[in-house]
Amino acid sequence: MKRKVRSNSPDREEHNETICAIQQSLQSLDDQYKADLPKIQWFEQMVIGEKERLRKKLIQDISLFGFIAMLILSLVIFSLYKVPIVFFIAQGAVILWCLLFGVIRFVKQVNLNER
Amino acid sequence: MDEKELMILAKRGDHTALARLYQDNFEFLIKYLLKITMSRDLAEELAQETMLKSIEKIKLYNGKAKFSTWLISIATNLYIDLVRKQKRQRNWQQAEQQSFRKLKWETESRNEEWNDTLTALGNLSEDVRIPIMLKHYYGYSYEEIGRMLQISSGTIKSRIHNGINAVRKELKLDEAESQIKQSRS
Repeated sequence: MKRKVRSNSPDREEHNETICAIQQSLQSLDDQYKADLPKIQWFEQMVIGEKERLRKKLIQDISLFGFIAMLILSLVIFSLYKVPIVFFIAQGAVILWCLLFGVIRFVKQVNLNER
Repeated sequence: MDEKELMILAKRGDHTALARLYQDNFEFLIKYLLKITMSRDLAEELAQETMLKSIEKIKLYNGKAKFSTWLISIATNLYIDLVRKQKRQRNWQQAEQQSFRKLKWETESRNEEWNDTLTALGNLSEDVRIPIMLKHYYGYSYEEIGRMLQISSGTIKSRIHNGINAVRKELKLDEAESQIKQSRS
């Protein structure tokens, strides 16, 4: 499955000897290792098991998301009708938090790209 | 049934087709991981993790690259993430050296050859060793490696160049070359 190594790279011309040594040493490592190939049933069991785990996780995540969304919505509606001042403070706080989060992420990204 | 047909069936949710793809690519994946991790145990552990991750991501696979290429790009990123996590631990370097020595000992105990080039490659950091292997052993282009590792092809080019120079230095090929030149003149 190894591809045919192209020979037109600048490194290839400059360091042919080193590249050949690297290829030979990696080939020897490849030849020495004999992987025990499991039966197809083992792979099938792994696929079925993992898909089942992912399905359960998805249901769990959706349930949790729905519960939290309902809770937040209930609190927002309650505060809007019963204590409007809390509702407006919460609105302001959320906008401020979003702005701060955006700026911090942008600065982090710039620093990461500069490194 | 060829790889493309298996891939189409696997994306539709056929367990057997996906299992066949994993079985066909298992040896390739594990041998690739052995070379990048230089540790048999870690290679086997990561191979399993790669397959589990790819089951989750199978719907995102567009089929442009070969299935083996897609698998090794997942495996490479899993390994890089693992190294980043473990580097935060104090004994990471010690553990890495230990697994490298173990592989060397296992190879030598089977009376098989362990050469200086493998030691030199093992001494390189993973962000240099992986691009060298992908370029000069597996034959991927700089652009393909860049896409796999999510870095620019220019960075890949310079890492490979510096890595090869480091290997050359460790193998003392420059000295050998100058000695040959001296003896000729």
